Amino acid sequence: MTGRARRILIVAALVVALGAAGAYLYPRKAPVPAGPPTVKLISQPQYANTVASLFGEDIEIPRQFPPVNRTEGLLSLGNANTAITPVVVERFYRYGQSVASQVFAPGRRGYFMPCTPASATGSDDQCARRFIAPIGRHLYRRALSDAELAGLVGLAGDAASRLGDFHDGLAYVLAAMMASPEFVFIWDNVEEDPARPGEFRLDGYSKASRLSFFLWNSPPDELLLKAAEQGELHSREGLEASVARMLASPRVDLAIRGLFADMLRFDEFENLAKDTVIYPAFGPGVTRDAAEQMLRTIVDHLVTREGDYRDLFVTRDTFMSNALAAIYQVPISPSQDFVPHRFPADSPRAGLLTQVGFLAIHSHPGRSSPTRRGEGVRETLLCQPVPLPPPNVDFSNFEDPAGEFKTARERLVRHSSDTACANCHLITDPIGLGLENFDGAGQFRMTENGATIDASGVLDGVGFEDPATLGEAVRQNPATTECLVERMFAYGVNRPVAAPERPLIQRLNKGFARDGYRVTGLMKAIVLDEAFFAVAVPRDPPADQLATAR
Amino acid sequence: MEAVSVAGSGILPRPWALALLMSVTHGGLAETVAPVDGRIGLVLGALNHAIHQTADGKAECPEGFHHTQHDNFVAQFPTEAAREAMLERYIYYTNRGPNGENVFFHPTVIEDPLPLREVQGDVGIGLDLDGKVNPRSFTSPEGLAGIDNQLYRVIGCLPGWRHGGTIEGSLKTEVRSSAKMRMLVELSEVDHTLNDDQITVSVYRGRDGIEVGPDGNLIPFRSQRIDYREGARYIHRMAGRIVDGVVISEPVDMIVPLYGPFNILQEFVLRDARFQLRLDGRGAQGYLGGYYDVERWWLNFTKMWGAHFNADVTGWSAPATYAGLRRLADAYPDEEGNNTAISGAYKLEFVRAFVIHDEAAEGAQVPGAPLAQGVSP
Repeated sequence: MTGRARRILIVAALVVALGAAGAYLYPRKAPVPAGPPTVKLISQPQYANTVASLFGEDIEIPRQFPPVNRTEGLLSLGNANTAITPVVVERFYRYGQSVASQVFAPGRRGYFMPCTPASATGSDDQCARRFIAPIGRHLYRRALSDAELAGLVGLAGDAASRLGDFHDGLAYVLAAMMASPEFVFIWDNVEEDPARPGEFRLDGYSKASRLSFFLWNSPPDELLLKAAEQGELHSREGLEASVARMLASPRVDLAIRGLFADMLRFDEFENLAKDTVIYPAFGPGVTRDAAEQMLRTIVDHLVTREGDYRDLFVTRDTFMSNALAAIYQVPISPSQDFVPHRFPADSPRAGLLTQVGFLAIHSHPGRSSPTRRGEGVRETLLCQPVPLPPPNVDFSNFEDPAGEFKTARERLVRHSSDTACANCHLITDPIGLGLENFDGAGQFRMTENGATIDASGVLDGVGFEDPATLGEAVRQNPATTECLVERMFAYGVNRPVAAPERPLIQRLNKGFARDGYRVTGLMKAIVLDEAFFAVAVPRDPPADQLATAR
Repeated sequence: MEAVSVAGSGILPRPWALALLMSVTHGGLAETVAPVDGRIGLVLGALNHAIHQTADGKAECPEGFHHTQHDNFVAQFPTEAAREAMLERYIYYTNRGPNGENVFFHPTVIEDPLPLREVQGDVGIGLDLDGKVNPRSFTSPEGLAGIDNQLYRVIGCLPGWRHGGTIEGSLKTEVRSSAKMRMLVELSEVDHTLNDDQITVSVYRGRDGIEVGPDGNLIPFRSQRIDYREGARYIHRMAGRIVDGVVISEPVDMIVPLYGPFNILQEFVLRDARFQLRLDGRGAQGYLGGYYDVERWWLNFTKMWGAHFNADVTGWSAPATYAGLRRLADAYPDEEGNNTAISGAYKLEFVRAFVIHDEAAEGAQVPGAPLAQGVSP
């Protein structure tokens, strides 16, 4: 990475940090609520999906990217509001080098090279151009300018001469492109809106990226880039045609996976550890499969079956793996992995809340946590933030294993007798106590320390008796669907929902209801809403700063 | 928890209520014992011979432990010169026969000069196979009389067979590491886990690995496919009952596949074999008892484990042990009135598992068939 590239990234980072906050200072005059143009750091799944779409799924990339702050419940919004350090810049360069070395490995490069170089040990500008132009267009999600292309071709030739190998030269350029801010950041570029003189709109490429990362969690494909170039995304008909095509693609699965993994805090699986002396069946395979089980359940229910979103909290249908079967105590043929599984009607397992993944990440390493589980439901599913505990909490009653209280309910009742604690615990604990029939590893139990567990409670006025009926209470809660609408819209436009957008969220939620709470229908409604591409651009200095940074 | 959902049984009340009832009335034990569709699957986690032993062994072996192969070699060839001459001629000290025969392969060609130190007293473990109390039967430490375990008399003072010995360690390793001896037991038609006068007990060989948790115990509730590749050879089905939480099966002749060192297959022929297993929260433990075919037992522990292993690692002496087996054999007399089988038992530990059936493969088998030809001695 050159010093210049590093400087560009640092400036870009400042723009990202300032952009979101600053733009609200310049209210847009248009009737549709609009946010600022955003510059968003590419996420790990988006990076992975980009590499897979260009070079195949067998190219290995790191599973974890540098962490970002969760913002308004989504890491995705943290990506749109982050600063990156030189260390992170170098890390992206290493990722690019790794991808490039795999792509140009002797056994593999034949799949990607459109030509044979005149000399294997030196430069060949014409052949290099034939590789760089199309790959660069997909990496940058726009056509390369003539100057950019010439620069990259020149760089490839220079590198090939120095390294004595044509393909090493190209690998050098591929790594450089993948470390470029043009790739690492997903940019909103604006242009004058011919339909509304004096106003701005996202340009076609930016619309294509916004659409594509929302509907596929992947970069635009060739057809979408062409639609962008031909201006089709600026017309209702053209947009509808592209959206219809995209929603019919299996890549919608990637979008649902990306959104729900983010919304349900799947990053916590990366650090999930259980005390395997207490929970011997909770091995490393369980962690991986528990996350995958939830995602498969979600995609199957929402996309394959086009089911009602609310039914995710009561569905008996899921998928079972060999590692998970021991936790769930169900039979599975050990020769198979992830087979469809239906819990019987009298099973306590019903819906996402009763899946091992949800139960385990919202627990302690060695015991369950009604508070964490309740917080998980409130924050991730109902969009209701729970305040952090005060720093001087007295946990002694709760932690004392020799204490007089046998069940979590008894301990928490004691804990909540302190009014300072009670206010928040009343928000969380009644929900979490409804899941106490599952231990910290998500395994079913009837008793705790010999005492029968009482899993009944009330969620926002709706009573429940056990984990399954808790799921029904979440299903009926009006906040459940509105929360998804809010998260999904914010995820799509890369910024938190602002107060003026509340009516929009409510309107989308009503449409969601009319459509039987089909999530793909909601996705379509969001992208076809005028607000999805609406952008408010400050007219004064920040725009100049943006131009300078580019 | 699916373990308590008994879809289709129609006999049981709602599973939650059942499990709750059992956990209240029986200290929670039955919560994880509850059957699934009337079935309780078990996978073998540990196996050893049913050997009762005290800490110093003086109660059951008052004369000390058995003389080793080397002790007998020295007794047979008392002088240094005689031993050197024997080794010069026959190479190895197990070849003590008059013509250099290996005494593990030919245990009757000589008599050991040092007699077998068989177990003394009447305290032992295992099963009452014949329903009788006789002068040679044992009484368990808990007071159960009439236990038939004459194999224990033979091997109970041989260090290699006692707890901590080579055989126990080897069996423990092989049971866990080799799917070739993955014994599955499935109880079916179970209506009540404490007392049920009519159940079916099936034995299979599994074909999947087992997983051991960080505490050294098997992880329960993993699934195990039945290995149908040997046909019905290792599939046995018998009637049974549950009495106060103990599964008791009716006797059948059974082939028990075990793998010993060097991954060599041994097939023990156990006549009138029956299980007696106490169900607990994780699985079950108890005995598989019956009458071992003496020749088959000898074949497995001598030729298959090898003379070197037996002589140098396990340390027992063949002629005296074989003579003990023959002398103490207590069942299945041949035409000349000599017993061909000896009572004994394996001590077993199982954990709960799901036994995965393949209906097409199962339909082709004939469970409970008599001993296959070529396996009987």
